[in-house]
Amino acid sequence: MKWNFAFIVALLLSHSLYAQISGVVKSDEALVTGARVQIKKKGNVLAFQFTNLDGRFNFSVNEDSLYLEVAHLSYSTLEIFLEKPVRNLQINLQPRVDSLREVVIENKIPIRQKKDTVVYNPDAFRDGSERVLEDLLKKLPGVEVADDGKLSYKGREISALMLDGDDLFKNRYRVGSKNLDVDAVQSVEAIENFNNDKVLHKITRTKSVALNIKLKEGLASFSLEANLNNDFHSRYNNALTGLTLATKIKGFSAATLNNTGLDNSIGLTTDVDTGQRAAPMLVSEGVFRKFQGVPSLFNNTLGTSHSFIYSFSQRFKSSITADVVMDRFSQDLFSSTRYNLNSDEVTFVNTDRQIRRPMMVSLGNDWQFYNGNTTQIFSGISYSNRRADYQNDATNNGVRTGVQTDSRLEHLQWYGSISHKVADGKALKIRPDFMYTETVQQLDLLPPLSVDTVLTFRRQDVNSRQRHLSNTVEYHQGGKWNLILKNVSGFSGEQLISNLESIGNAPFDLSNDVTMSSFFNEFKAKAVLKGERWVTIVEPSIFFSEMEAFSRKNIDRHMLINGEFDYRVRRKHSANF
Amino acid sequence: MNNFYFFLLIGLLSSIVTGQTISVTYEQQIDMSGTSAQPFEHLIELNHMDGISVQARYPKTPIPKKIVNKDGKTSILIKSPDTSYIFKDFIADKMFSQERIYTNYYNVVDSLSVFKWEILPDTLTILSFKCQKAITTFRGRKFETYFANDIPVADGPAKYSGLPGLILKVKILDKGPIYEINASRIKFSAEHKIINPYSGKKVSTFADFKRMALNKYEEMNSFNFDSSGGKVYNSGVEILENAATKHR
Repeated sequence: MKWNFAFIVALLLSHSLYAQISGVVKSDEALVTGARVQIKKKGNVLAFQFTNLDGRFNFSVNEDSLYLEVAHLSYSTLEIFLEKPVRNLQINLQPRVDSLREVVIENKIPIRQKKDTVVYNPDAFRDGSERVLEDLLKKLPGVEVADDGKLSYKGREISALMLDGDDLFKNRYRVGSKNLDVDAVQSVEAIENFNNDKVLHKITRTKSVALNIKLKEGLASFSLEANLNNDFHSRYNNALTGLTLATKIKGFSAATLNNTGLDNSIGLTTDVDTGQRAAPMLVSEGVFRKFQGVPSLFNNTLGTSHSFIYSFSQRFKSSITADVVMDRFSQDLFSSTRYNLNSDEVTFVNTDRQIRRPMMVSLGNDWQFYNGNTTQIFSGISYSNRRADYQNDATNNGVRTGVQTDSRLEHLQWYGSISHKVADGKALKIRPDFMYTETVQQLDLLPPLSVDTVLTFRRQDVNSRQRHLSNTVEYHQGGKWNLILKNVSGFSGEQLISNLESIGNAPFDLSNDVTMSSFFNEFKAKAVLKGERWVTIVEPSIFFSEMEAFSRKNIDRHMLINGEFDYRVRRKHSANF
Repeated sequence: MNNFYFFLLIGLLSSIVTGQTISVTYEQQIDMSGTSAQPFEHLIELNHMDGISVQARYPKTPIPKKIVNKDGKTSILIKSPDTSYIFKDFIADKMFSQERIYTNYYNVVDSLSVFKWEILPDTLTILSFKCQKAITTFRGRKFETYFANDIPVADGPAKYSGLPGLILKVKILDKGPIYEINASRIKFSAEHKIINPYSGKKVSTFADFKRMALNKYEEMNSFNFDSSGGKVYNSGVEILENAATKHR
């Protein structure tokens, strides 16, 4: 009896402490399952439930003045104030008017870091005013676009502007940045520690940076853009650019034609920097007046550039490039001064005519194989033909002086490389390189140059040839011990033949024939040991060269052995503020 | 992945418009070992309608056969199915998933009421939704999540569910492993029928699966790996323990 009484008291007490809020949620008599029911007080959620298969909910609460909120994706949210807990509430929800309307909310994460690569989400930086890639790049933090279109990342000019990993533009990336439609860009990747050797990229560190433009998937497009600027008289500045983008083939053709002095020259893709370059043309502009090295308003420039990359598979690619640049500079100066001295009229007349007509044609083709992990093979060949025709003709009161130069340079280069990962963090690279350059120049003088009363020169003929064959073997090891071993060996030969053509019989030989050949070998090593607080760098090198020079009078032989040993110890410091 | 689209297509064709579907894309970064050079990235596509949901998880980029870890050592990766599914039925309180014991896969049905959440006052705005923080300890791991109170569904990515709003972010709190899921896209649209991809397939209960998994671990460790320096670790996203091993 005692226990029964206690049970009844306890039941009564519990009833007074906890009360039920329960009910069923419907919509037009249909039960609503999965609706969220929340009990709130002063904005705080005290409890929540989702309605069961019968649309029911049931809470035990011990407070008054509560809000009951019922929410469902397909119905309008309902909130009811309950002064006291109530049982068996009948709640009717109204279908949402906008429930069938499609709404998409997407994340725009602006920047992501992936190891050495920063990935920019273009949507986070675009405001609708952008038309081409360059407009977008100007808005990306860390990326700088100079007035001349050069691109830099973190203060360093980029080594490449790639499209989906393909270096289509090479050193003419401005064609891409100024013409690629910004709507085709999925994301922009800024790559530090860039190395176009995909095997070494994973092992060694470089200071190079590059940008990679990820194009939108399934994009296959051809775009053609023409910028035509012509005045009513004779000035024009026209540009035409075509861009082809598809999965297997990417390519562009660009042509510019202007006579407004703008440097629209596109550059030569075949100026490949393998450490060996064609010798400069022999012509020195020092003998000409007012031939500045930059285009002037008197220039008439035509530049065309074409480049295509074809992907035979994900591993095998080939590219073809062709460039033509013609730059005609012509200038006519005429001045006339008339003096009247005691009815005796004297007139001084000066005319000065200058013409400069350089033309450059270059063709290139390369093949690249990368097996996706351990081996990359590259082979490239380039040919360029450069011509220059410089003329200067001046008349000063009937006395005519002039100089005319005709130069021709041919440059052929083959370069290859094989990179192979021999073990984890270790790779071997072999780079053969062959180059041949021949330059021919004729220099005519008017009037002929008289040395004495007998000997007069009117023409100089020069023929210069360069040959270079070398092979570089590199060993790279990454990790805590960073080691690079490099050995370059090769042959180099140069020949210079010149002849002064005289009027009349010269009493002595006025021709020259000098040949120089050399063998060289250079070994360099660089070891970097990175400790937690100390970095030790050791760089020994040894250079050996044996050279022979032949002329008609002398044979000179020289040998050079040079050794160097550098070491640096650096301590890491950190500062906290 | 093709199966997923097949199910979606069937669902779309047989749909009867009654309510609203919510479709969420999550990006997942995971490296439970904490030693990979960079975490693996997956996408999770979740479709929820009227208390049931199906989600497909697949690699964002193809998983390589082997990877080089932070310490320069190479790990060989066991090939797993490209796409895995989780089906949740909130009315029936059931969750279907694919679980792995070494290289064998099992279809497992579990309860949805496996989470005990502590809701905290911290907030974070995700995809323009004000989200509230909640933490939980789930099978040996601690997680924090953020859910959107304005999206009244108890769903979330992977197995996470049971909060008053849709979970938009999950992050592991344990030191070492990397496990983070972030919503990147939410789409509200007219619904389509959602089909259970495990329907008609052999399914084990979670208790049976756990027993099988623990037996396998015991069996592997009984080969005396310790003498050769090896040991089989039970260290996935969920750490399965029995009463005997829990306090060892």
